Amino acid sequence: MIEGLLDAFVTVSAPSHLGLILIGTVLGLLVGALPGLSSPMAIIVLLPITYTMSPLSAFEIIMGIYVSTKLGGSFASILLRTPGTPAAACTSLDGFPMAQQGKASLALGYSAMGSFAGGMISWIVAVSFVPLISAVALHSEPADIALLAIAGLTMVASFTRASMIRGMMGVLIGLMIASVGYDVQDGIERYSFGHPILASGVSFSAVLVGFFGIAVVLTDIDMVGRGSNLVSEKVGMALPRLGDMLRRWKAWAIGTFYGVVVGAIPGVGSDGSVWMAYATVRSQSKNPENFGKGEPDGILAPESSNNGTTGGTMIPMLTLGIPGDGSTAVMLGAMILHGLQPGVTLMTSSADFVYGILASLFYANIFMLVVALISIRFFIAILKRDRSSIFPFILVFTVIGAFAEDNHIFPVYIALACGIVGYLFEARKFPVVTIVLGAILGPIIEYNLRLGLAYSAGDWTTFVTTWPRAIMFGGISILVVREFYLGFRRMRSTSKLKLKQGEES
Amino acid sequence: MQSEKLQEILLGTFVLGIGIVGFVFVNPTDAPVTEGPGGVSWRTVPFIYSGLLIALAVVFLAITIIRGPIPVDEATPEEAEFDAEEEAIEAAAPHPALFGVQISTLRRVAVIVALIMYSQAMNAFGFAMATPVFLFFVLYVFGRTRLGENLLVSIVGSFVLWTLFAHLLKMPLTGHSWDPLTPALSAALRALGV
Repeated sequence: MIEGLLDAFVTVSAPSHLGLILIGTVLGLLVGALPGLSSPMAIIVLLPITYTMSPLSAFEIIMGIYVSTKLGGSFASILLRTPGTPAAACTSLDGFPMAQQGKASLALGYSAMGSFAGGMISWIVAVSFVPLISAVALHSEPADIALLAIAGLTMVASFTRASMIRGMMGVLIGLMIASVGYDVQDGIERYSFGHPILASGVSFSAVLVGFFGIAVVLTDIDMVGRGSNLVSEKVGMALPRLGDMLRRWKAWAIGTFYGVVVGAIPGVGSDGSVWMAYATVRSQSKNPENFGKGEPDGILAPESSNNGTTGGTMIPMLTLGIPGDGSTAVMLGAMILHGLQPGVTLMTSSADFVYGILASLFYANIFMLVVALISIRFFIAILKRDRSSIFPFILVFTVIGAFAEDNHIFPVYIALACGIVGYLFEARKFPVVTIVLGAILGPIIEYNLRLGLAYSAGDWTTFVTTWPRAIMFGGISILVVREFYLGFRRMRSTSKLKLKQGEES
Repeated sequence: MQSEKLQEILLGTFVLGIGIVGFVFVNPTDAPVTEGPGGVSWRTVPFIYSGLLIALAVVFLAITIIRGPIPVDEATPEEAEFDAEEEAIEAAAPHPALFGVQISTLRRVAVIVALIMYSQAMNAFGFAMATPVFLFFVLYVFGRTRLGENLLVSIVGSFVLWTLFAHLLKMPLTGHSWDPLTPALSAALRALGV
């Protein structure tokens, strides 16, 4: 393991590789700083450019984007009270009041240091656990893999920020998208509607650019033309002293803990972990009344949690092929498009690549801090730009992204359809990320389910015959029953509340 | 509240429609069904997915119609508070309208139409000719009214993107009907030694 990691560091430390991570980092900070643009969208937009690169080179840029978008999102939260990314919303609770008090530079410094601490600690966790879990996962059989993927999707549907029923419906739509095309075992067309292009399946990049590119632009069109007034024009970045950071260790330690743990669970992602970290740190604080009024711990906790997810999400993605959030879903798609097979065999088939990703993650965290420190004024200048000049170019990139996989115009129409559906779903708070995750895990589930049945001569009890399988099966069942029970209980309490309000009025 | 309920019903109906279409139209040619191990055939898994989707959509619709929209989970009370504030700010923000329709809605429709036209135009006339027109139009739709500046941004931006994708990354972005610009640009760049 250590040898593999050291080799990867030697490879990634070459100037050309470091340059790619640096490019990704700058782009990530840029994208994060602009409200309306997100990490999955940035990765999607850049995918066509990476097609001619080696998979590791492509992922060096992607890791730079993934890590630094998270810090970039806090710039707008602190200076505008408009989060650059959904996960950065929590930072504005204390970041913006701090900026209003004339301490914007220090607020940005706390944000950068929190992100760096969270990112580095989660990197250590990822480096420790990825080889271990990979070694265990390697012994899994098709039935295990099918159950694991189903468990992943159940977790996505349960923990996503919407409701279980919405999450489940999204997952099932994604699974149906994955079923389009020739059946892998019988070679029979499914959902092709007689269209020869659909017989070979739905273009994966078209689905990704549709849901994460076009849908986002359509959703954020409201932002076009709206000015951005910064709370303060003269802003730099003032890093807090080391002693101050150590004194506040609880805030970033709790934040990182939530980030790593929640990041490793498919579905929640950093959007949920930051709020949990903030609530915990506030409840643990000796001065909870200071939160919401410019308390530094209120910046450190969400920011360390936000970047803490970067290492956490790597664990299921690199060992099991299960994405933790939208960005890692796109990354899995990028792996497939680059000819890699994500899943339990990734570590054995492409160990250099896996360790290369981990080494890139390390450098991306360092570059994020350094670039943000040196160039904060540039990113703040960008932050004030209107989205009207950026969105048209993003739309061109999305069209090329859909076109490039097959060099055909038909996937562009699929992307457009996915974009419109994604926008309409987003407007109703329907988690479109679940559709993408379903589309990614669908082929894995069906292939391994049928292979597992073939190995057991058609005996369905094969899915509960070993202890790990029985535990997974039990876990999936408990999760589904629990979520439906909680959903019904929540609905009943909402109805009672409405009834009470009606009686009072 | 009523409009929210109606939108939720429309959402549920749309999802139900996807489920029904998925259940009925699995195969367009009525292919023979040969059961494999465990009784699973090519249509079993799509049937399970679409069947479950139909069941969930029916539950979703029933709950929405009887009890109202299903509440969305929030991670913590702070998050719920923040979301409520955001919604209030959004509601208070100006929403300019044209002919009684919000401009942002008109922009969305215009962008969708432009994307369809752009895809068709790219297929017929190539990336080099279609992209400047698309960019110019969308920039105008997004409220940038300095036409000269938009023209410059569209042409320069398109040329940079064309050079990157078509010339350097060798993507086949040539039009299939009439595209005199792509060969001309390629020849010009070759002459310049790029």
